Amino acid sequence: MGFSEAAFNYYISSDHIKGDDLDLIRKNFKNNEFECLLDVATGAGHCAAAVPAKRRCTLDPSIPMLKTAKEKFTLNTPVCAVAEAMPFADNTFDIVTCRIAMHHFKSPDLFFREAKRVLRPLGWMILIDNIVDVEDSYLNVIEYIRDSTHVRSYRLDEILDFAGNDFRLIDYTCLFKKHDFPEWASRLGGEAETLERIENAFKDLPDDIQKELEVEKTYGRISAYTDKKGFFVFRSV
Amino acid sequence: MALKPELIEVLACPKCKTGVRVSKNGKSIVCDTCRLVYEIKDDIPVMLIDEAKQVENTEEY
Repeated sequence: MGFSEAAFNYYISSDHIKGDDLDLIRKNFKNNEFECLLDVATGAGHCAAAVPAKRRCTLDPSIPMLKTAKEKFTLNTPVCAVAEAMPFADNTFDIVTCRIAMHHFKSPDLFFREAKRVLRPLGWMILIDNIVDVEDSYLNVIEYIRDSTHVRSYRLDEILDFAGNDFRLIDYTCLFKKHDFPEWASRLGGEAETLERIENAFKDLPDDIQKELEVEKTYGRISAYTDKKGFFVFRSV
Repeated sequence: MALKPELIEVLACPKCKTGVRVSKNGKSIVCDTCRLVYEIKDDIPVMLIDEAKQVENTEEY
């Protein structure tokens, strides 16, 4: 099952439907109303729906995802496209958001350049994505077993390098997100053999990495783990 | 339901970033510069360069 087939699973996913990151968006921007929002790799639309904006444009390479976002959150301006080649004129949006998606992008550097281009001067960019540290190589391998469209979760310094001189970092928060393992592992509908490989990969992790990821077991089975999400507030320079 | 005018106003070709237009029959988005025709599926413009149709001449669109 790919993203298009999993659109409804993403809509109901406990990892996507709620979270400290969505609460932070609401808290940070409760007194703002943006003119024009672009939500990149919108998925089922949870992030786009959380930002106060007069007009919301959703972008995703999956038409079923865009349709789900439209149906569930009335996000009526969908565009099928990729983050690295945005089909918009320069200086169009006053905020660009991207939640839990950049680890799928083939070229995050190009995504940042495109975000800068379509943003108006001093436009905002909210980026939320996985952050890795000592677990870098271990967790990236497991993510790839689960989902072959996973490219890479990045370290904090790598993300700041992508932003380069085009963006100023206004705020950064590291959030810890606990995942229900059975739901997380099967969200993309992987076969039993794949699910077993994912679970075994967690069991085989060195002790210090299991501790870092707060791996939980119930009757010898993996029941949960916790990863890190970076919440970045950038402003274009 | 047709594409919203405010969307058409800001849409650009993902390849050359110049403005685009809706085709005469309203079923696609046309970049006259790149001579690329992007399909509209279920009222969603599919602005993927790899899926666009390369044409000799965009006049008929």
